[in-house]
Amino acid sequence: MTNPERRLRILVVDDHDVVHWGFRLLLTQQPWVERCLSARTGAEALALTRRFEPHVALVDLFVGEESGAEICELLRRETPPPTVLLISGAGRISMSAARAAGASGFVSKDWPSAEIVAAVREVARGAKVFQPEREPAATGLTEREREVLGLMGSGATNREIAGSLHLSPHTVKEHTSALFRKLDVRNRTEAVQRAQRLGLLD
Amino acid sequence: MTSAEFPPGPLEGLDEFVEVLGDVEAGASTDAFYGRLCEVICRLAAMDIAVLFRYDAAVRRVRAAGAHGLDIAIFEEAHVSVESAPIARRAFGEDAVVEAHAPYADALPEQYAALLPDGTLYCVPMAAAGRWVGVVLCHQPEGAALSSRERHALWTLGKTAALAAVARIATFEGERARELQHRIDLARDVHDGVVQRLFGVSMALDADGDLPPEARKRAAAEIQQALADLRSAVQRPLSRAPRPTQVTLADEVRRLAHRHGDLAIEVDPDSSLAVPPHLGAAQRAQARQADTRDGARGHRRRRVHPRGRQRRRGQGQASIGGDGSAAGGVRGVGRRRLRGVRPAQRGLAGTSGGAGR
Repeated sequence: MTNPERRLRILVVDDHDVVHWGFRLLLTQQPWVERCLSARTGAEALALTRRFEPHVALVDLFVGEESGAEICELLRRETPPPTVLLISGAGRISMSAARAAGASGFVSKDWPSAEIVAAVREVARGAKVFQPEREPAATGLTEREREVLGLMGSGATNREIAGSLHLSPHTVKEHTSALFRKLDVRNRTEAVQRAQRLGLLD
Repeated sequence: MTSAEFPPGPLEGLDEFVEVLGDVEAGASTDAFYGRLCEVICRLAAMDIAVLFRYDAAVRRVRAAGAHGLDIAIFEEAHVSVESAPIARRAFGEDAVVEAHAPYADALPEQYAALLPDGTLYCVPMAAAGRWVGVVLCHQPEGAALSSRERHALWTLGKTAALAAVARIATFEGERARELQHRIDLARDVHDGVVQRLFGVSMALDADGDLPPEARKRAAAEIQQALADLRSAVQRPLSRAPRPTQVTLADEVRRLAHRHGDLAIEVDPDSSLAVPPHLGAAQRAQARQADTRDGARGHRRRRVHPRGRQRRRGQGQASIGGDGSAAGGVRGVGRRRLRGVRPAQRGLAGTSGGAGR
């Protein structure tokens, strides 16, 4: 467990200069931060870890062509190993995959800066920071509902869908009602639009 | 085999099939495309009705995709399958043209059998490379009959129609792949250029205390750049990227030299002709345009100076310049210059300029 009185050295591993700049300004203002280091590649991260022994490494999931999870594994093999907090804008990693790589948490760049900063501090204290995975409602569709949605997207009527899937029209109607509820839409036009936005239609 | 074994017959009409295939590129609608296939089959095989049924993966059923001599709307609500049309099952099983005679009760579902006049019904399997695409049901008026050669020709037309259908599917899939790639590129550019910038700036702005003047200036600059990148992304042309070729600008210059043996082509010493690959098509087009334009104007150049160079951030520049004299002895200087287009403007390749990413 990290001594809460100790000021922390934090390594930010990201391939965007502007991200380093923002974190430097933000983190160096924190009284519990001793230093904010910047690495743009896995090799740089390793070199800085060996030299400065950061307490926490904030590693982006995608560092150029490199995998943040692999960088995390590399850093965790060092002695002393930094605590790693994975971060990403568009990417996601499951809790199990992040844990397997040795990470203590995963935060999204969508989070407010105060929460990201708090997460850095939390993992330094030995906590795990994983937000419960929020699956979009649409991924809760059953296989049959996805089939109905696909046919709906091709312009098929309920009767045609029933014929294609060898279901009764009543069953198809039940599936469409469930789809509307899960997609939070009022009609099939909205359902198809929402499905297109969510990438559920081929 | 000798040509005598291939006497003139319906296969002469393959040219018409090629023409229909050309519509794949021209973007004819699906129904129009298959309707034209039916029309061509009718003309070549002396049929009065042809209906093309194909398996439609989008709606997961067999549907009438095109017709000639019969209103396709009749089949709008039809639920047909190989099971409900024994003639189709036989055609697939035997991979042969199968015929049935009026009243067709043992060949088709009753409601469709009644639609056909007396005569002979032929079911032509459409299969290519082991893939069953569908069938063409053709009707020949009473009194006519197919010779074995015509039957074979009809079977071959079925194969050709299958090839056309597969080609169309491949074209469609290719188009979808291109659109998807475009979306991926757009998402990546917005993520790298806009989202990351705004994230960094938001971190900086959330720092405690007053932002130092330098940081304030940088924040403003980053936001401006993010806006420019966003603008560039949304203004990106949606036209297709030119097809990649192995021909480079240097190849094109060599071709021009070969074509105009009396022309002295001098490549500027500081020019490598090694330009970014994504600009290749535009620059080759520029070289050809310079060549044909001068030809059309009657200009005779003695020297030309192709020049190309790489510039920063994926930009490139190429120009075809030189001296020349018009046929009437009037001297002139021709120079065509293509400003570099950045990767984001790939769709504009072949035309000049534009903002970058």
